[in-house]
Amino acid sequence: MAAPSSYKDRNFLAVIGDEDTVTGLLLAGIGHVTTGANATRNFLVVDPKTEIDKIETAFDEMTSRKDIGILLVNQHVAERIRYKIDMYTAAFPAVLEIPSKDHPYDPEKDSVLKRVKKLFGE
Amino acid sequence: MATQQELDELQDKLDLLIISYLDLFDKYQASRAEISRALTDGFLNLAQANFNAPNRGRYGQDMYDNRMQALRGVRIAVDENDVTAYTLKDLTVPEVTNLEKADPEAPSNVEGSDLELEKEKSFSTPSVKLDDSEAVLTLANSKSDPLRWFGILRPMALGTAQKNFTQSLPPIMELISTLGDIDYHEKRIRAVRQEVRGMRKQLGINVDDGPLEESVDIPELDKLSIGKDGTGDEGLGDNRSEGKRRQEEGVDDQKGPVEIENTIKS
Repeated sequence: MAAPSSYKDRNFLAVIGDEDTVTGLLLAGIGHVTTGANATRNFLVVDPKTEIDKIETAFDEMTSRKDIGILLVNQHVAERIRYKIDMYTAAFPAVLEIPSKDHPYDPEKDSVLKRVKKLFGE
Repeated sequence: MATQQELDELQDKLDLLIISYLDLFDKYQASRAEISRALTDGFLNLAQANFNAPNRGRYGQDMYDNRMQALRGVRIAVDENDVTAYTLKDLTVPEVTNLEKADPEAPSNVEGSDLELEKEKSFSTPSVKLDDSEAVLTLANSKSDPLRWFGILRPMALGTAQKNFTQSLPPIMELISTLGDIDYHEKRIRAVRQEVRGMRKQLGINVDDGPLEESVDIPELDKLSIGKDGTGDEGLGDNRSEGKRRQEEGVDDQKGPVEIENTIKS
């Protein structure tokens, strides 16, 4: 059983996605900028010009933060850092792929569906 | 020594586990659909708001307030099976957080167990979770409302988009909680399958009826079909004769899959 210390301070949701997804989720009130000298955000706006390095760094940074409980990533952005997402095994924060405006949810890329298929031998 | 009755009981257990696993998977897909619906509505309304924006502006990152503080967050609880439940949390009410922080440090045993009971209740009964989420969804703290970043003369659609995106949060929590439960069930299914396999061996039942295998693939069957020792059971008879027939016909593609199988195993 996971120790409560590993999750009790994880209060925030974070998001890596396109501008509309981030704007929408910030409108929903999940956006947070930490106060202090090293102000950090819990969101990253990704456009087609955003370099993969930048997305990877943001992913690493957000998954290593102790105050984030859930990291939401647009499925098409997750595709760009697929190996990182697949390699990620930590219990917290939970990483969830969500659809975006231009890229609806694709079940073929859903890792849960893949696992179910494997379990039942398809 | 295991008995046939024990094997039947274990198989019943496995069936029940698979049924609840499939129920969870159904729940997962329902949550997925709900999230997609809420987000799609949100994107549409956001597009509508951008279309109606004064001065042809765009409601996006240029207008975010860099001093923003989260209004909604997540509450995490882990049960004794290591299954994690995620619920929506109102971050504008600090008292709740203080109470929660005090929970693990509660000195009195009686008080502690009461709190645990309460936690369990909220963990196991979805109605409590929903009530909680609904309260969080309608939190009214107009001063820090993110809508204010976008000025006073903002289109109505922006407010509707905000509602849509907020509505996507509870199914997101539900979906992630379900994922934890799916993980747990998957582990249990694999473990019970292993037990069933062991018990079948003990009872001398070697009939492989498919689903007990991790994956039923052609190379595995091919490997069995070219077994030279002749051991096995009636169920594999057809495959073996098929293999022999192919060998007689000079079909030399048997090695391929077996080699692949070996490399996978090594």
